[in-house]
Amino acid sequence: MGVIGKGVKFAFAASLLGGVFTAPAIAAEVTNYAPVTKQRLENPEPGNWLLYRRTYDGHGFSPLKQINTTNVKNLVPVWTFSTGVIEGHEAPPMVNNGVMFVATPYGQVLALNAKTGDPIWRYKHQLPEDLFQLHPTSRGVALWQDKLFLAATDDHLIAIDAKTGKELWNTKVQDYQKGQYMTLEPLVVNGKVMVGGSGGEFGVRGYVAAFDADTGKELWRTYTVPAPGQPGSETWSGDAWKTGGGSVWITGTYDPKRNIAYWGVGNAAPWPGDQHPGDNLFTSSVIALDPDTGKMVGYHQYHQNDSWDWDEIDSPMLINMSYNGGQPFDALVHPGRDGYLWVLKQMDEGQIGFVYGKPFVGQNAFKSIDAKTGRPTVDPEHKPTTGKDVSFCPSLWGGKDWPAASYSSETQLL
Amino acid sequence: MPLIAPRNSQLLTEISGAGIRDVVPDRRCVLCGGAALALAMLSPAARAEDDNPARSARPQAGDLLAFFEGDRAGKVIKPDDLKSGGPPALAWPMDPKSKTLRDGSRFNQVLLVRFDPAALGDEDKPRAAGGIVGFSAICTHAQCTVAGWVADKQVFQCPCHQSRYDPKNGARVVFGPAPRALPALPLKLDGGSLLVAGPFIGRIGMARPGMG
Repeated sequence: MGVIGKGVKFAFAASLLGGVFTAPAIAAEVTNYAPVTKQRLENPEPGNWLLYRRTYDGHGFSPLKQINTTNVKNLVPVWTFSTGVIEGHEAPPMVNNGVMFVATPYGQVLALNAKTGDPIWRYKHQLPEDLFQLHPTSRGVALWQDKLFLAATDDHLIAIDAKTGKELWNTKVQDYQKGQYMTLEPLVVNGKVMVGGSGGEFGVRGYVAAFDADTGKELWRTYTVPAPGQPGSETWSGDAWKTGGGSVWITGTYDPKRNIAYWGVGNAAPWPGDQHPGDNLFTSSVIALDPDTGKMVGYHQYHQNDSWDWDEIDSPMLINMSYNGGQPFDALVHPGRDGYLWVLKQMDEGQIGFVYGKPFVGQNAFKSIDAKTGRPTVDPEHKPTTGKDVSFCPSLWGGKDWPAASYSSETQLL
Repeated sequence: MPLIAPRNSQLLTEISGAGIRDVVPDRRCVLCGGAALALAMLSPAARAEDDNPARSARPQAGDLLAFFEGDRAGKVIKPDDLKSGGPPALAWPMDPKSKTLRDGSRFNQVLLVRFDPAALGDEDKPRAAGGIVGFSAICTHAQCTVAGWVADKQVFQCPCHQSRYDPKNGARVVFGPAPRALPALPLKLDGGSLLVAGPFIGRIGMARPGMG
């Protein structure tokens, strides 16, 4: 133990540095692993983190009280672990009864003793040499029964044994050479592992797909950009749909009561909207999918003909609330990339109703929004057009980018 | 910075000289959009799953070069197809015997551009063929395809983070976050045909800390 600074003590567990990724995997197993069941996911123990935002409703709220505003200043580090991967780590550590799973950039997964930081096992997925490395990160492994699921940047979905770190199955979801990749934490509902594809920067056609947790077999794939003849295709012209974008790159939220999964959809491609005239469904939208079949049972498009790179990929939080003294209702709440806080309403069959929208940052792209439908009226002065210099607020990073918002049902504050 | 759609068979995006806004280097892809990069990521030929070794072999002496996309996709590039001063063409190498496109790996993508031979740098002259120089198209920063062309400066530009490479000076980095020049691909003329004279010089793509 060392003493650094004014009487602050640091205790370090084993700290692995440098070229660990070339060392053989640590050969150990998790004992007494608690399978992650439907019941546990729908009502997780407060001390665990079994889902991307802890709960299916996307609140990202912890009910734990031991650390609070009066004692947080007394926190001291207990252990650190150096993964050996030199790149930004964006995955929440997933915790199941004392075992912590960390997904690193470049396709590794580590199992650590959450109490001590001691490594248990390390899994490494081999990535192809010619993979573009725009976003080599991972936003976490999903948990179900005794398996972990990693969506890798080369478009492979991989099932890993949570106890041993061994690969159980490996399914190719898409061709990485086409420009798609995956970084999101998958969403598992009743043994169906759902993922979306990134790559809206390139000419891709977005989708959400589901795979059987036991076998890795693809069960369904729903495209976020319709092909000619499919519902919504009238909002595209010519061949623009083929590379229309609409990537889904952040984990969805889920309503177990209605059995609906909500996914946020990214920007239309390429960026200037005059390259793809029309409303461009279902880009910059939330879509409601039946997780058993992939059928789209509802949607709401936040803004049309996206020209600002405003991905609306963050899935809405499911919040029961009332508005303006009205009856409580099941809301879908989404602080948008477009700078508006959108409040929508869940309907039982899946459709999505509009309640209100209000900017939370300086926003000059929308002159107004329709009070009934929420449809923005765009100011052409602040809408990018091919060959023209245009300024707009917020920037392409948006009023809020991909890092999740959170909600406290105790204070009812976002 | 406005992005202009590529004309007809022209893959590469011309970027106006209107100026580049200061962009804070960031891992996020700033201004990655554009049809040019979209097309550069797609191969016009359906990529078969077969393991034909000719497809993934690196370009080698004697290879022909074929257009990557457009209405002449897959057709052999002749010296006269390239105008002096640019714009460049994106190409796949082609096995001269079987005429197989070496499109099994993006690492085989080649940028070709033509200049007046007198304008080339000393390191580029011996590798050039009739004023045409060749380089790896894979950005040494994050491995995007360097599909942009800044016409008034005659430099390549990567659409992902705007790294710029000067083809008259060994494709060295003249702007942006890329750490290394693009590897050169020596070329030669043989009876009027444009051929590869030797393998890429240098490592393609980025250094990969943590990939192991």
